[in-house]
Amino acid sequence: MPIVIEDLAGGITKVVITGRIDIAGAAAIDMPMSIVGGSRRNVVIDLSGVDFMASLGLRSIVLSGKAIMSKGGKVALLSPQPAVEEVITTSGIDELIAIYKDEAAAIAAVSPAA
Amino acid sequence: MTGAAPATEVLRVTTALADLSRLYPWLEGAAARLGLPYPLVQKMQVVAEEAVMNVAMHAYAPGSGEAIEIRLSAASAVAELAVEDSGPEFNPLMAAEKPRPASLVDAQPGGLGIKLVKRYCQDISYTRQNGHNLLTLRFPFEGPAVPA
Repeated sequence: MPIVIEDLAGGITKVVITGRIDIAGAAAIDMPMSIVGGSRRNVVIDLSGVDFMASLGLRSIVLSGKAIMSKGGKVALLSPQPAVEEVITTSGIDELIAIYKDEAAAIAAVSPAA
Repeated sequence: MTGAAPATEVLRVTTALADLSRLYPWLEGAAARLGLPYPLVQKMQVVAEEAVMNVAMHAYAPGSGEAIEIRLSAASAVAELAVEDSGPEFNPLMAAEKPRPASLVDAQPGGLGIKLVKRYCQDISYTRQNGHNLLTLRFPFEGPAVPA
Protein backbone atom coordinates (compact mmCIF):
# COMPACT_ATOMS: atom_id res chain seq x y z
CA MET A 1 0.00 0.00 0.00
CA PRO A 2 1.64 3.29 -1.04
CA ILE A 3 -0.14 5.30 1.66
CA VAL A 4 -0.38 5.01 5.45
CA ILE A 5 -2.47 7.37 7.58
CA GLU A 6 -1.27 7.85 11.17
CA ASP A 7 -3.21 9.87 13.73
CA LEU A 8 -0.70 11.48 16.11
CA ALA A 9 -1.17 13.26 19.42
CA GLY A 10 -2.55 16.79 19.38
CA GLY A 11 -5.02 16.22 16.54
CA ILE A 12 -2.27 15.91 13.92
CA THR A 13 -2.54 13.42 11.08
CA LYS A 14 0.58 12.20 9.30
CA VAL A 15 0.06 10.76 5.84
CA VAL A 16 3.06 8.76 4.64
CA ILE A 17 3.12 8.17 0.88
CA THR A 18 5.77 5.88 -0.61
CA GLY A 19 6.95 4.46 -3.92
CA ARG A 20 6.10 5.56 -7.43
CA ILE A 21 3.05 7.80 -7.58
CA ASP A 22 2.55 7.25 -11.31
CA ILE A 23 -0.75 6.42 -13.03
CA ALA A 24 -1.28 3.29 -10.92
CA GLY A 25 0.13 4.91 -7.76
CA ALA A 26 -2.13 7.94 -8.13
CA ALA A 27 -5.14 5.66 -8.55
CA ALA A 28 -4.14 3.89 -5.32
CA ILE A 29 -3.80 7.09 -3.24
CA ASP A 30 -6.83 8.95 -4.66
CA MET A 31 -9.44 7.40 -2.37
CA PRO A 32 -7.37 7.48 0.85
CA MET A 33 -6.36 11.10 0.12
CA SER A 34 -9.99 11.97 -0.47
CA ILE A 35 -10.87 10.46 2.93
CA VAL A 36 -8.07 12.46 4.58
CA GLY A 37 -9.36 15.62 2.89
CA GLY A 38 -12.86 14.99 4.13
CA SER A 39 -12.09 13.90 7.69
CA ARG A 40 -8.84 15.51 8.92
CA ARG A 41 -7.89 19.13 9.59
CA ASN A 42 -4.23 19.19 10.59
CA VAL A 43 -2.22 17.16 8.14
CA VAL A 44 1.46 16.54 7.36
CA ILE A 45 2.02 14.68 4.10
CA ASP A 46 5.36 12.87 4.26
CA LEU A 47 6.75 12.52 0.71
CA SER A 48 10.27 11.39 1.65
CA GLY A 49 9.63 7.86 0.35
CA VAL A 50 8.14 8.94 -2.99
CA ASP A 51 10.48 8.13 -5.90
CA PHE A 52 8.33 9.61 -8.66
CA MET A 53 5.32 11.87 -8.85
CA ALA A 54 3.80 13.83 -11.75
CA SER A 55 0.58 15.76 -12.24
CA LEU A 56 -1.80 12.91 -11.35
CA GLY A 57 -0.25 12.43 -7.91
CA LEU A 58 0.01 16.18 -7.39
CA ARG A 59 -3.66 16.52 -8.30
CA SER A 60 -4.61 14.05 -5.56
CA ILE A 61 -2.60 16.04 -2.98
CA VAL A 62 -4.04 19.38 -4.17
CA LEU A 63 -7.64 18.14 -4.01
CA SER A 64 -7.11 16.76 -0.50
CA GLY A 65 -5.30 19.92 0.64
CA LYS A 66 -8.04 22.07 -0.81
CA ALA A 67 -10.70 20.15 1.14
CA ILE A 68 -8.66 20.48 4.36
CA MET A 69 -8.05 24.22 3.96
CA SER A 70 -11.61 24.98 2.88
CA LYS A 71 -12.80 23.95 6.34
CA GLY A 72 -10.13 25.96 8.13
CA GLY A 73 -7.54 23.20 8.42
CA LYS A 74 -3.81 23.23 7.70
CA VAL A 75 -1.59 21.05 5.55
CA ALA A 76 2.16 20.79 4.99
CA LEU A 77 4.43 18.70 2.77
CA LEU A 78 7.45 16.97 4.28
CA SER A 79 10.81 16.21 2.66
CA PRO A 80 10.12 15.42 -1.00
CA GLN A 81 13.06 13.96 -2.95
CA PRO A 82 14.70 16.46 -5.38
CA ALA A 83 12.89 15.33 -8.58
CA VAL A 84 9.53 15.32 -6.77
CA GLU A 85 10.25 18.69 -5.18
CA GLU A 86 11.01 20.07 -8.64
CA VAL A 87 7.58 18.92 -9.86
CA ILE A 88 5.95 20.63 -6.86
CA THR A 89 7.87 23.91 -7.25
CA THR A 90 7.60 23.99 -11.06
CA SER A 91 3.84 23.71 -10.80
CA GLY A 92 3.79 26.45 -8.13
CA ILE A 93 2.05 24.25 -5.56
CA ASP A 94 4.78 25.00 -2.99
CA GLU A 95 3.37 28.54 -2.78
CA LEU A 96 0.02 27.09 -1.72
CA ILE A 97 1.21 24.19 0.46
CA ALA A 98 4.50 24.83 2.26
CA ILE A 99 7.33 22.31 2.04
CA TYR A 100 9.27 21.49 5.23
CA LYS A 101 12.49 19.50 5.54
CA ASP A 102 12.03 18.87 9.24
CA GLU A 103 9.18 16.81 10.67
CA ALA A 104 8.93 18.75 13.93
CA ALA A 105 8.65 22.03 11.99
CA ALA A 106 5.99 20.56 9.70
CA ILE A 107 3.97 19.30 12.68
CA ALA A 108 4.31 22.68 14.43
CA ALA A 109 3.13 24.45 11.26
CA VAL A 110 -0.09 22.46 11.01
CA SER A 111 -0.87 22.11 14.71
CA PRO A 112 -4.23 23.52 15.81
CA ALA A 113 -2.52 25.94 18.21
CA ALA A 114 -0.14 27.42 15.58
CA MET B 1 27.19 11.00 -37.56
CA THR B 2 26.29 9.81 -41.02
CA GLY B 3 23.13 11.85 -41.41
CA ALA B 4 20.99 8.73 -41.22
CA ALA B 5 17.63 9.05 -39.51
CA PRO B 6 17.99 8.66 -35.74
CA ALA B 7 16.88 5.39 -34.16
CA THR B 8 13.33 5.50 -32.89
CA GLU B 9 11.88 3.50 -30.00
CA VAL B 10 8.14 2.80 -30.22
CA LEU B 11 5.50 1.78 -27.65
CA ARG B 12 1.82 1.18 -28.35
CA VAL B 13 -0.59 1.09 -25.42
CA THR B 14 -4.35 1.08 -24.91
CA THR B 15 -6.00 3.19 -22.23
CA ALA B 16 -6.36 0.22 -19.84
CA LEU B 17 -4.64 1.09 -16.54
CA ALA B 18 -2.26 -1.87 -16.64
CA ASP B 19 -1.31 -1.04 -20.21
CA LEU B 20 -0.76 2.67 -19.51
CA SER B 21 1.58 1.73 -16.66
CA ARG B 22 3.97 0.17 -19.19
CA LEU B 23 4.82 3.73 -20.20
CA TYR B 24 7.33 4.33 -17.39
CA PRO B 25 9.56 1.21 -17.66
CA TRP B 26 9.45 1.46 -21.45
CA LEU B 27 10.59 5.08 -21.36
CA GLU B 28 13.38 4.23 -18.92
CA GLY B 29 14.63 1.40 -21.13
CA ALA B 30 14.24 3.28 -24.40
CA ALA B 31 16.02 6.36 -23.02
CA ALA B 32 18.89 4.20 -21.75
CA ARG B 33 19.26 2.56 -25.19
CA LEU B 34 19.37 6.04 -26.76
CA GLY B 35 21.98 7.18 -24.24
CA LEU B 36 19.83 9.81 -22.53
CA PRO B 37 20.79 10.93 -19.00
CA TYR B 38 18.61 9.72 -16.09
CA PRO B 39 17.52 13.17 -14.80
CA LEU B 40 16.06 13.80 -18.26
CA VAL B 41 14.23 10.45 -18.13
CA GLN B 42 12.46 11.53 -14.94
CA LYS B 43 11.31 14.77 -16.61
CA MET B 44 10.22 12.85 -19.70
CA GLN B 45 8.17 10.50 -17.54
CA VAL B 46 6.38 13.49 -15.98
CA VAL B 47 5.63 14.94 -19.43
CA ALA B 48 4.74 11.58 -21.03
CA GLU B 49 2.28 10.80 -18.23
CA GLU B 50 0.49 14.07 -18.87
CA ALA B 51 0.43 13.64 -22.66
CA VAL B 52 -0.82 10.05 -22.51
CA MET B 53 -3.41 10.76 -19.81
CA ASN B 54 -4.72 13.64 -21.92
CA VAL B 55 -5.44 11.14 -24.68
CA ALA B 56 -6.86 8.59 -22.25
CA MET B 57 -9.18 11.16 -20.67
CA HIS B 58 -10.14 13.31 -23.68
CA ALA B 59 -9.74 11.36 -26.90
CA TYR B 60 -10.86 7.81 -26.31
CA ALA B 61 -13.96 6.35 -24.69
CA PRO B 62 -13.10 4.32 -21.56
CA GLY B 63 -12.12 0.78 -22.44
CA SER B 64 -12.22 1.56 -26.17
CA GLY B 65 -9.13 -0.54 -26.80
CA GLU B 66 -7.79 2.05 -29.24
CA ALA B 67 -4.06 2.54 -29.24
CA ILE B 68 -1.80 5.43 -28.34
CA GLU B 69 1.59 5.32 -30.03
CA ILE B 70 4.56 6.84 -28.23
CA ARG B 71 7.87 7.29 -30.05
CA LEU B 72 11.21 8.38 -28.63
CA SER B 73 14.24 9.43 -30.65
CA ALA B 74 17.34 11.48 -29.93
CA ALA B 75 19.79 13.43 -32.08
CA SER B 76 22.03 16.47 -31.73
CA ALA B 77 21.43 16.99 -28.01
CA VAL B 78 17.65 17.02 -28.45
CA ALA B 79 15.38 14.15 -27.45
CA GLU B 80 12.01 14.00 -29.16
CA LEU B 81 8.94 12.33 -27.70
CA ALA B 82 5.95 11.97 -30.03
CA VAL B 83 2.49 10.94 -28.84
CA GLU B 84 -0.03 10.00 -31.53
CA ASP B 85 -3.67 8.95 -31.27
CA SER B 86 -6.60 8.51 -33.62
CA GLY B 87 -9.21 10.20 -31.40
CA PRO B 88 -11.18 13.36 -32.20
CA GLU B 89 -9.14 16.51 -32.79
CA PHE B 90 -7.74 17.71 -29.47
CA ASN B 91 -4.92 20.20 -29.06
CA PRO B 92 -3.78 20.21 -25.42
CA LEU B 93 -1.77 23.39 -26.08
CA MET B 94 -5.02 25.27 -26.59
CA ALA B 95 -5.91 24.63 -22.96
CA ALA B 96 -4.87 27.98 -21.50
CA GLU B 97 -2.52 27.89 -18.55
CA LYS B 98 -4.51 29.00 -15.54
CA PRO B 99 -3.31 31.99 -13.51
CA ARG B 100 -1.70 31.10 -10.21
CA PRO B 101 -4.47 30.97 -7.56
CA ALA B 102 -4.26 33.16 -4.47
CA SER B 103 -4.81 30.19 -2.17
CA LEU B 104 -5.17 26.45 -2.26
CA VAL B 105 -8.92 26.82 -1.75
CA ASP B 106 -9.07 28.64 -5.11
CA ALA B 107 -6.76 26.16 -6.86
CA GLN B 108 -8.02 24.23 -9.89
CA PRO B 109 -5.94 21.07 -10.22
CA GLY B 110 -6.74 20.70 -13.92
CA GLY B 111 -4.01 23.06 -15.14
CA LEU B 112 -1.08 21.48 -13.31
CA GLY B 113 0.03 19.10 -16.01
CA ILE B 114 0.23 21.49 -18.93
CA LYS B 115 2.29 23.86 -16.78
CA LEU B 116 4.82 21.08 -16.11
CA VAL B 117 4.89 20.13 -19.80
CA LYS B 118 5.60 23.71 -20.88
CA ARG B 119 8.35 24.16 -18.29
CA TYR B 120 10.10 20.83 -18.91
CA CYS B 121 10.10 20.89 -22.72
CA GLN B 122 12.24 23.02 -25.00
CA ASP B 123 9.39 23.21 -27.47
CA ILE B 124 6.08 21.55 -28.11
CA SER B 125 4.08 21.25 -31.30
CA TYR B 126 0.69 19.86 -32.17
CA THR B 127 -0.53 18.81 -35.60
CA ARG B 128 -3.64 17.10 -36.88
CA GLN B 129 -2.81 14.84 -39.80
CA ASN B 130 -4.53 11.90 -41.48
CA GLY B 131 -7.19 11.85 -38.79
CA HIS B 132 -4.58 11.58 -36.02
CA ASN B 133 -3.49 13.93 -33.25
CA LEU B 134 0.30 14.22 -33.09
CA LEU B 135 1.91 15.93 -30.13
CA THR B 136 5.69 16.37 -30.43
CA LEU B 137 7.68 17.27 -27.32
CA ARG B 138 11.36 18.18 -27.51
CA PHE B 139 13.83 18.13 -24.63
CA PRO B 140 17.37 19.49 -24.65
CA PHE B 141 20.04 17.37 -23.00
CA GLU B 142 23.78 17.59 -22.49
CA GLY B 143 26.13 15.14 -24.16
CA PRO B 144 25.75 13.15 -27.36
CA ALA B 145 23.19 10.41 -27.65
CA VAL B 146 24.74 6.97 -28.00
CA PRO B 147 24.47 5.97 -31.68
CA ALA B 148 22.22 2.97 -32.14
